[in-house]
Amino acid sequence: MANARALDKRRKSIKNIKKITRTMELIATARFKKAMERAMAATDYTQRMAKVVSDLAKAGLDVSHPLLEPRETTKKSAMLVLSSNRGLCGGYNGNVLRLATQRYRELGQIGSVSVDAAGKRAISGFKFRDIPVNRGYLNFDDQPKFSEVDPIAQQFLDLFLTGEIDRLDVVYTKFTSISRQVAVVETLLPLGNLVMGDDGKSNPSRDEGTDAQSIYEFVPSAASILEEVVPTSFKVKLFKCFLDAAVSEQIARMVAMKGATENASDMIKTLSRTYNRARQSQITGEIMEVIGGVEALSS
Amino acid sequence: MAELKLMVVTPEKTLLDCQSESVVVPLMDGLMGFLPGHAPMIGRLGPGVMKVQQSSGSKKYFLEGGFVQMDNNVLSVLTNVAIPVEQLKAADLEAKLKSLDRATPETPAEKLSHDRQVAQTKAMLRAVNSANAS
Repeated sequence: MANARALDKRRKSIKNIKKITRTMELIATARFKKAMERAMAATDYTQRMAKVVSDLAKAGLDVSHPLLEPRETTKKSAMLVLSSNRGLCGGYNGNVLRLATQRYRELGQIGSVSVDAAGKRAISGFKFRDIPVNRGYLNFDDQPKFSEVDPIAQQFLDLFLTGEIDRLDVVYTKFTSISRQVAVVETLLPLGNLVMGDDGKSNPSRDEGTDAQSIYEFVPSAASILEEVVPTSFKVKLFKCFLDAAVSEQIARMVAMKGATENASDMIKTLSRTYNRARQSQITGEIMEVIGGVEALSS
Repeated sequence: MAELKLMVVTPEKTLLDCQSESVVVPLMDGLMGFLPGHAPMIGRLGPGVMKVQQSSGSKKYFLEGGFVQMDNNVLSVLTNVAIPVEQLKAADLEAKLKSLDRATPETPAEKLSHDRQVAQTKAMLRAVNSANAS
């Protein structure tokens, strides 16, 4: 039978860990709510953007832009990996990294790949796997700001337009619902379609509206507006990736910490049982010794 | 007095959702004014100052670019950056412009981003100066 005092010590330390994981769960829940609110607030912009795009398409404009054209050969590609700065969030970073490494190998067979990573976990993960990281970003927390994402987006746009990269893949955890987040690879450049819906609501159907006259007047011209719409929609897409990743991270942490707290409770239960049994048998042993001593004296 | 509904939306959130008597927005090639009942239009914004006239007074915002859509007496302004002009300080902007002047971009991509930053800071400076003058 194990030593009662050692068992008690272990039980106490597990109780402390449980307190910590419970607190972390609560913090993650609060942060998740905030991140979720931000993500919801951002949808207003995307909806309005989608409306502008569909109105443009109705005007019978031929939608073509250098950012939309796929390159004939993809010799140089870039990959942006979104992970968290902190651990203790279950498989969140692992899933993203696994997918990123796989895609890195695939792209590496076609041409050169430069990897950018957001989050400490991705940076150290790539270091471990001997994959050089071009640029690392550590400034993203649970509330990514558009002003922080904008320079990164702009930089990729510039690289793409100057022909230094032919393709941009973003690896992140996509938020589909509270109970479901999946690590995905999305090709953001060249931009496949303009409408920013999460699902494949690709190009707004141009057939239906081409004949009807658009009620809008375009200032200065529809073509000029398109010139601005395309880069903006790329930026917004990238921003949405960051928002999704932030929300998913908090959910992953919440779930991981909930599991940890439950496990700690279970462990405390079994340890208490063993401890009580050990204590009881110790007492029984002591009484037996006393009785044995008394009997030895009386006889 | 008739009013139009103004929505200023950035990728992060809806910044303004209010009734307004008139709005002047900076387009690519000059200012454009909107009164209630304006005809439907979509315009491309340039950097500059948006002036919102409300019954309670007028407000000015610096916009960096984006789109404006007028439809059904609702004016939607989609922009990446909308900063109240009072929050911009001329001295800070001038300091930033000076530090940008010293920087030497090397690759074509860096050059593009440098030019853009210079243009943005200059536009902000112009906006602040014009707002102070009027």
